[in-house]
Amino acid sequence: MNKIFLEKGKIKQRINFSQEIIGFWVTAENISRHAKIGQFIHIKVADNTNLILRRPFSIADVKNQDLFFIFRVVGKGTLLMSKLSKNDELDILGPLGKPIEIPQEKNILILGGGLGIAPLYFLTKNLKKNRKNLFVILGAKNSKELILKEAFKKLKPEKLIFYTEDGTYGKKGKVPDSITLIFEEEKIDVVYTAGPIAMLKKVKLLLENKAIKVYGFLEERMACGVGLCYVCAVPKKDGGYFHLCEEGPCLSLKEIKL
Amino acid sequence: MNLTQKIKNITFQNPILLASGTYGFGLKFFKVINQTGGIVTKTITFNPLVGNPPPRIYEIEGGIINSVGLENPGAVYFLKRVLSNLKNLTTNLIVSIGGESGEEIIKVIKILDNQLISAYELNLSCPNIKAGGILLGQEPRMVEKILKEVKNNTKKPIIAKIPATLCNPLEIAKAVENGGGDFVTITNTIPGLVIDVEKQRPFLGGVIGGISGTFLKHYSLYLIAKIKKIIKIPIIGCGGIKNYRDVLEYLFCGAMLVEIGTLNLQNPFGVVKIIKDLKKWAKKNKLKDLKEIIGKIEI
Repeated sequence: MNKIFLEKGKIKQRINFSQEIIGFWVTAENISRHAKIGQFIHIKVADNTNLILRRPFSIADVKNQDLFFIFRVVGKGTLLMSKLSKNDELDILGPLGKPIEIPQEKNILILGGGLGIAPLYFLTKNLKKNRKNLFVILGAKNSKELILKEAFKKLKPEKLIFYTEDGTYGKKGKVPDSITLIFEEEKIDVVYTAGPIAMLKKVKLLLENKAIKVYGFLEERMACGVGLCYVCAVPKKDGGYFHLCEEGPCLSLKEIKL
Repeated sequence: MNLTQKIKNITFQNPILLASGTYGFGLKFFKVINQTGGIVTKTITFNPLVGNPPPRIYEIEGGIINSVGLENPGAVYFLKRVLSNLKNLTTNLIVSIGGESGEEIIKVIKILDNQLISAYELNLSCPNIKAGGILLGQEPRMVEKILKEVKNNTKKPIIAKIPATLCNPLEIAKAVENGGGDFVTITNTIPGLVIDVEKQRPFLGGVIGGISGTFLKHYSLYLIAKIKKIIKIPIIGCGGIKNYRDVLEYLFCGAMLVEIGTLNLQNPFGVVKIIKDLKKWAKKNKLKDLKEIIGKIEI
């Protein structure tokens, strides 16, 4: 079992991507130093019996004793979090989930939609360090919601394509629009994807019959986050369930039912 | 200050147990488990169960509602692959057993009977398919019969975790005692529904869920105070414990031990603080033995 810490993290920097999308750089030494790609943190938002469960967030980046994550305000927990600012504390459990192992293969396609871009940044940065050829396609509703554009540019991937649904940045359209073309132009060995469920379904469908590895970051209602309760079930292709907090959140899309 | 109690030949180093379903099978967080009075495993059934489709949880005011559906790898897997890895446990291992009949529970016990196990806890909130789906623990005669059958098939102490609704819990607790049960756990989660208004259908994949958390504590305390008067076997209190004060409330009402569940889902280290705080309180109040406070408050 990987080491798990319960830590009070202090917000070092708050970044407002849009009114609803917020990023926090948090100082949480133990968690940050042990965090690996593909992992997540689990945050207790308040000491309030109406908010019993922690909220899971993918780790988007790590620098020494600090970690970065991005969230969208979707419910009462994230609404409370959106009111926090520099120097406020967060009760964090982590790092959780199964780390991603750097693949042996050379040519990697990264497909990110919306907030799914966050965990893919931490992954892409590490793949770059491992000298992989990276082909990255990212998309969101509009320019504001297309997070981490500049950060990805700095990684200098072999190819970087942006999409927005309203055409305010990059090409007008959605991430899956480019998949067929990129497979014609480039040799791809492994695909990592994260984004809305509709996008993952599309990616799975398009790549199902290709003899390559396809991994996706999944989401499911979660409770303990540490493999004790079996709440975060994701259906396996042949029956039974994966437990996302333990076996994921990044799973082979070919082994699950979406 | 010593919180140790010896009950029915089992030594509990403190009154805190980890409730079934909230701490896995005992394979993780050894250090935490070993500081408690014991762990009650997730419920084991004869055959493996895949559990309910997601979503399996919903947060409600004052608690949660879960619908995991007793997902477990079955008795044989548990014996071969789990029990063999639990040799480092220094505290009590209590195995929760479920099934749709007394016979099925006995089949599980016959597979498992192993010296690492301190006691069995029967999950009487499983539906009895043959009897039209009513819960095993819903009807006093059925409860007494199951307890008698189980007791005839093992020498280990038997704990019965009873349902708290759709039955008279007082009669059910009495039936556990009449059947020879050694402990009674009051109470399991209570059934509930969540409706997804947008999709116009039940929210939980398993449709019906079990409600747990803070609000359940007060009903459970009431039941324990009532049941304490009519049975002699030890009571294990369960429902909504989040700090040492909640534990004390249970002890005052007559529980000798408590199970902590929902809190573990928020914080796997949470019970450690409760045990520490309980010791502090006992020292401050110059308590020599937990007996001095157990059942002190009568209603």
